[in-house]
Amino acid sequence: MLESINLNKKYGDLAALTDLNLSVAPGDVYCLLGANGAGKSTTINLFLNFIEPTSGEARVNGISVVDHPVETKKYIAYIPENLILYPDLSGFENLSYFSGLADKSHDRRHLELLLEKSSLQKEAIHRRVSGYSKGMRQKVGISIALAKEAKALLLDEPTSGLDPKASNEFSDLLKTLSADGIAVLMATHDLFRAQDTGSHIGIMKRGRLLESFNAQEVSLQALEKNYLELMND
Amino acid sequence: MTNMIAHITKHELTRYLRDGRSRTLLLVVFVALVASLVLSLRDYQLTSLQYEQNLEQVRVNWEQQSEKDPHDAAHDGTYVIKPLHPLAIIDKGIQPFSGKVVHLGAHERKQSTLNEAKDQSGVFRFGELTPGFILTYVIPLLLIFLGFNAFTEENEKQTLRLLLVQGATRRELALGKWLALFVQMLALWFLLFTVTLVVTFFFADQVRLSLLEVLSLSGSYLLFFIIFINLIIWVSSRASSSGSSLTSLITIWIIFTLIAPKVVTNLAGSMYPFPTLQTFQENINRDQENGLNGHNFWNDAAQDFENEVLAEYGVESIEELPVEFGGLLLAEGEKYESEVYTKHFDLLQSQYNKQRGVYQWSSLLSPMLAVRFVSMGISRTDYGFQWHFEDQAEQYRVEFNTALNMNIAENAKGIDRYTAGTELWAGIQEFNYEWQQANEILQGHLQEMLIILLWAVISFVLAIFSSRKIKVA
Repeated sequence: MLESINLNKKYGDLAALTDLNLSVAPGDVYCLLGANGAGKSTTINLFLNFIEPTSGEARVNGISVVDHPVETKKYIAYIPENLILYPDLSGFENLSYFSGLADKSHDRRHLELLLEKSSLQKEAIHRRVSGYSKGMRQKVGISIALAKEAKALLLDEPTSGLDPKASNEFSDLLKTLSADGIAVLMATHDLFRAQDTGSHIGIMKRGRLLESFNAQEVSLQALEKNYLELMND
Repeated sequence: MTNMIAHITKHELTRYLRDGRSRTLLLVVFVALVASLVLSLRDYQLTSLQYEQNLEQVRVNWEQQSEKDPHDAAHDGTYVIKPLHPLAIIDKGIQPFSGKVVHLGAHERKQSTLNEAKDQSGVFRFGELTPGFILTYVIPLLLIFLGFNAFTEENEKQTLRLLLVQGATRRELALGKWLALFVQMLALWFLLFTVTLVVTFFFADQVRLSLLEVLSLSGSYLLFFIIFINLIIWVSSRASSSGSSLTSLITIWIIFTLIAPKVVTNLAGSMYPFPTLQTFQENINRDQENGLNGHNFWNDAAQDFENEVLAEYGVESIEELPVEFGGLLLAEGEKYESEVYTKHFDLLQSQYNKQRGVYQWSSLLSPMLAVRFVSMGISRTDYGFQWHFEDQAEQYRVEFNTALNMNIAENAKGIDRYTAGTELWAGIQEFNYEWQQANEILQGHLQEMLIILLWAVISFVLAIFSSRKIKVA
C-alpha cells in the first residue's frame, strides 16, 4: 500500500533522506524509530506530498504521490504529533467537517459510532474539543481516518506526551486498524510501543534506514540493545 | 468543488459564531452601524426640516421687506440654502465643514457660510459616528480581525496538514475562507444599504433618488470590502505566523486609510496650491478696478457703456434716454463683476480639479481614496457638489440683481427717489437648486469606480494564486 523507491530528500548539501526503500503492506504496522533528525518525519511528509523528493518515488497504492497528489490522498489518513483540531467545535463536529472534506457522507449516528469505536467516551462526543486531552484528540484523529475509509494511515509521533493508559489505548486502536487491513506507517521514539504495536520496525539514522526487521522476531531488550548500538556508532 | 467550498464556508462560519471574540466584534460593529444609521437619519431629518423652515423664512423676509429702492434691496440681498441629499445619510463627506448658506447681495459673490463644525466644540474634529465612517474605517478593520489568521492558524495548529490530506485543495480552502468572510461582510453591507434604500426612498421628497446611484454607491463599498478580504487571504497565506499576518494587515489598513489620504492631500496641495484668501481677493479687486462698477459713472468702462447705450437708443444724451441709465449701468456692472468672480472661481475650481486628478491616480495606491471620492460624490457631499451649488447660487444672484436693477431702469426715469414694494419682491423667482443628474455624477466618478474594480480583480487573483503556494509548516 505504501512504498518508497530510492527516495531521497536533500536541503542544499544536507541529506535529510538517502535512498529509502520500504514497503508497508495492508495490515502492516511499520514503525520508524530514530533520534530527532533521523528522517522519520521527512519520510512521512514525502508520502503526504508536503515536500517534493529530490529523487526517487513515494507511492500509495502503486500511484506516485508527486504525479497524482489528489488521487493518492484518497487512500491515506494522517495524524500529526500534536493534533489540535478546532477547539470551538465538538469532537463530533470536527469529525463531520473532516469526513466531509474527504467527500464521505455519513449520517449522524454513524459518525457517533466511529467516535465510539475510536474509544472516545460517549459523553465527550458532543463536548467542545477545547476540553479534550491529547489522547482524546488522537482518538478523534483515528475516527477521521475511519470515516475516510483510508487504506493507509501515517502517524507522526502519535503517542508522545500521552500518559501510559492513553498510549496503551492508542496501541490497541492501531491493532484494530491493522486487523481491518489498514497499512500503518508510524514515526516514533517509543521503542516499547513500536515493539508492542508494530509488525515491522525500521531504525533510521541521519536520513538512512539502517535496519529493518519483523517486530515479532525481536524482543524488546534486543530491540533496545540494537537501537542503542546503532545510535552510538 | 462547489460542494467542498460550501462545506468549508459553513465550517468557517460556525467557527466564527462559536468564537467569543468574533461574536463580540461582530456585535460591536453591528451596534455601531445601527447607532450611526439612527444618528445620521435623525440628523438628516432635522437638517431637512430646518432647510424647509429656513427656506420659507427667507422668502417671507424677502417678500415682506418694506418699500425701498430696488438696488438697496439688492444690497440687503437674500439667502440661498444648500439642500441635503438623502444619500448624505450614508456619507456626510465635507458637509460638516462646508457652509450651508450663501448671502446673495449686490456687487459681490460671497462664499457659503454657517458650517456645522462651527456650531460644535473643538472635539467635533474627532469625527462623528456615521455610516460612512463605519464603512470606510471600521468594517475593513473588522474583516482584518476576523480573518488575519485564516491560514496561519491552520498551520500553527497543524490542521492545515489534516485538511490537505483529507483532500481539500489549497484553492478550495482559500475560496471557502474567502466566502466565509464575504458572507459576514455581506450581512452588514446588506443591512446598511437595505435600510438606507428604504429610508432614503421614503424621505426623498426633495430629490428623485436614482437606483443606479444607490447601486453604484453600495457596489463600490462592496468591492472595497472584497479588496480587503482578498488582501486578508493573500497576507494570511504568505505570513509565517498569525502575529506577522495581523501586523502586516494593520499596516496595510493604516497606509490605506490614514497615511495615504494625508500624504496625497499634502501632495495635491503642494502640486496645485490654492491662492490665499488675501491673494484671491486682491486678484478679483485688480480685475474689477478698471471694469464696470454700477456706482461709478465716470471711469472709462462706464463711459464706453454710456456710448453704447446712447448709440443703441439713437440719442445724444442720458437725459434723452427713455429708461433710467443708472439702472442699466447697475445691471451691466453686476454682469461684469460676476464675470470677474466667475473667472477667479473657475481658477479655483480648475485647481481643485487638478488636485482631484492627483487623488484619482493615487487611488491606484490606496483604493480607499477612490471609494471616498465615489461615496462623497454620489452622496452629494463633496466639493463637486459645493461648487455646483455655489455656481447655481451665483447664477441666481446675477439674475436676481438684474431683475432688481432692470426694474430701476424701466421705472425710475424722472423719479427723484424711486422705490418698489411687495409686487416686485414677490415677482422675483425663488432659488431652486437643480440637482446634478445621476448619469453626470457617475460619469464624473467612472475612473475611480474602474480603479476600485481593478483593485478588486487584481487582489482576488493575487489571493487565489498565492493561496496555491501555501507552505505546510
